[in-house]
Amino acid sequence: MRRWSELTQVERVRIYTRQSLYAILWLGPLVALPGVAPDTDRPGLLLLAGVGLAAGLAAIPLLKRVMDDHPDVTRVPWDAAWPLVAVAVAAAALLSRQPVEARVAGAIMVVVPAAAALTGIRNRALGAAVVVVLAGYAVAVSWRPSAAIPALAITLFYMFTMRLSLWVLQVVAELDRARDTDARLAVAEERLRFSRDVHDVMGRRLSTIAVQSELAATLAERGDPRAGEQMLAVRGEAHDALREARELARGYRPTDLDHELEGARSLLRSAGIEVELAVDDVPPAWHEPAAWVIREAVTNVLRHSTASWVRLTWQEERLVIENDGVSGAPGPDGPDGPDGPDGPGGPDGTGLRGLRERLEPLGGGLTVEHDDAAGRFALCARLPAGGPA
Amino acid sequence: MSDAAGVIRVLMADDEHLIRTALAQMLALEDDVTVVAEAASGDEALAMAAKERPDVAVLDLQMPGPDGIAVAERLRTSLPGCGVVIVTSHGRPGHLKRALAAGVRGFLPKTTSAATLATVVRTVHAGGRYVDPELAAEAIAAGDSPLTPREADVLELAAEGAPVDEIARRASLSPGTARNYLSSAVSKLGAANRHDAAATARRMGWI
Repeated sequence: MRRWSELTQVERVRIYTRQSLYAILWLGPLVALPGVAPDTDRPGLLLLAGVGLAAGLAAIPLLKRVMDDHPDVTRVPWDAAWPLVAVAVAAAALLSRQPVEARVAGAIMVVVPAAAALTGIRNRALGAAVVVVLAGYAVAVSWRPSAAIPALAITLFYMFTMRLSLWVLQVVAELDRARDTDARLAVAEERLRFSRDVHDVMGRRLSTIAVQSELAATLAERGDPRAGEQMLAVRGEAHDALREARELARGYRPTDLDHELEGARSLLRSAGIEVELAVDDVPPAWHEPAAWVIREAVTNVLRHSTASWVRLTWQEERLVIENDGVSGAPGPDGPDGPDGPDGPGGPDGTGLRGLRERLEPLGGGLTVEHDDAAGRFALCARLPAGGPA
Repeated sequence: MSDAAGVIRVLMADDEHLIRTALAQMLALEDDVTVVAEAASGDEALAMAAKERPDVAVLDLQMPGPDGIAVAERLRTSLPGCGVVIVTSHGRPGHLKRALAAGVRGFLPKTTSAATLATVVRTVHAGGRYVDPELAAEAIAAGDSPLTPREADVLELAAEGAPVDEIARRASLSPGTARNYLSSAVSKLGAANRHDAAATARRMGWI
């Protein structure tokens, strides 16, 4: 047995519902006994209690079968129903010598579990037959036509309760299955999209690489100096392929400035740099350019400076990223060789120049402020209220 | 540390033999850099680092045994003078953060040219830091992971398609607890289910 906390929601609903249905099987004595108890002698009460107990027990296997096989069970499963039939027949015989009130009560105590066990079967004709048979049973046992009324009421009540509960259970199980199928479908679709993209993009790049390398090898064999050039082209192609592979894996994602700011903060903190963030209410139209500025500035802080704190602020249409990095100029050991990823130059090199070139057509601007004495370096991006041009 | 001639002694660790050899050969072409050890796994890298005491360790992010970041963490205590550069062919945004937190001072893709790798080795040896701008931009764009480390672990296992019972067993949790972690990860990521959540987290580099 697993513990309750280890079950899924669906399993819990299922167990709860089934136990409730087993419980209402035992309502018979509660309904029938109080009315007759004061006027019935001891042996009579014992007989009634015995009938109630026997009928309840006999109905359990039948109810279990009906619930287990729901909604596929459409006939009475006689192999599970015979104990209840036997109890019903025996009860009818034993009750025949009792006074009329006890006979009515006894009939009800058989009708209740029988109704509980049988009305869950999904078959309209059978449902009607059950209603008629149980009402008829009540009349036959009690010799009183009016006993049909409580029997009818009870049977209809159980039919409503059982069918509704089992239907809800079925819907929940189907929804759960559908959710599972959806999830698997989503995974499969994503895989399909991904494999198609991988094949399209990587296939093209790898073919180019194959052809170019073969050419380079041929050139090299002949001692042609263009071999080196060709190999560098191969390298460029591989580089592009790798970048595209990363983009594929990441998927399309629109820029979210708050997201970028959180990313910048956590990245800087992981490098042991204190971060102050006061960037609110950047006009949405500027979010994308603001994200470029933040990426560039943060990358520069990480790469070049020995900053211990970074402050990002937005005020008066200016996005300012300040830090206490010592200098804005690339150090003697600056890593950007002639063919470094950014080309030559430090924080004010191509990275910032490129950024300025992207901002200016939009009506923005970029300035760099040094204050070497105070050990302060600031990158200020002007993003005017009118929004990008 | 460096020998008399001021040559930087480098350890290279990468399980991809071809790449490691190529990078090592190219680094060796630099006058002021010498490759003193080549390792094919995290454990080998640690053993060689203890023996050779290099100035700079150039580690592949994903290696058998402890990965590059785990090796960097151990080197930080066992060989504090050794600068660490991580090279990666699949830089997920979360890795850069983990690497920086582990004291790694160089982080770059494997496609970096040999000249850049050599300059980065010099920068790191001199106490500086170098992070590839593209990888940094991606890490920034990914935002901060909303997942706790435990949620990330459990989601990582779920991403492999394991059922809850197996996830729980592998994460040494009870199935109920594993399920709780999964459902909180799913709701944090606004996902429909755990597969969806795992796909999102993977795309963002959080697992």
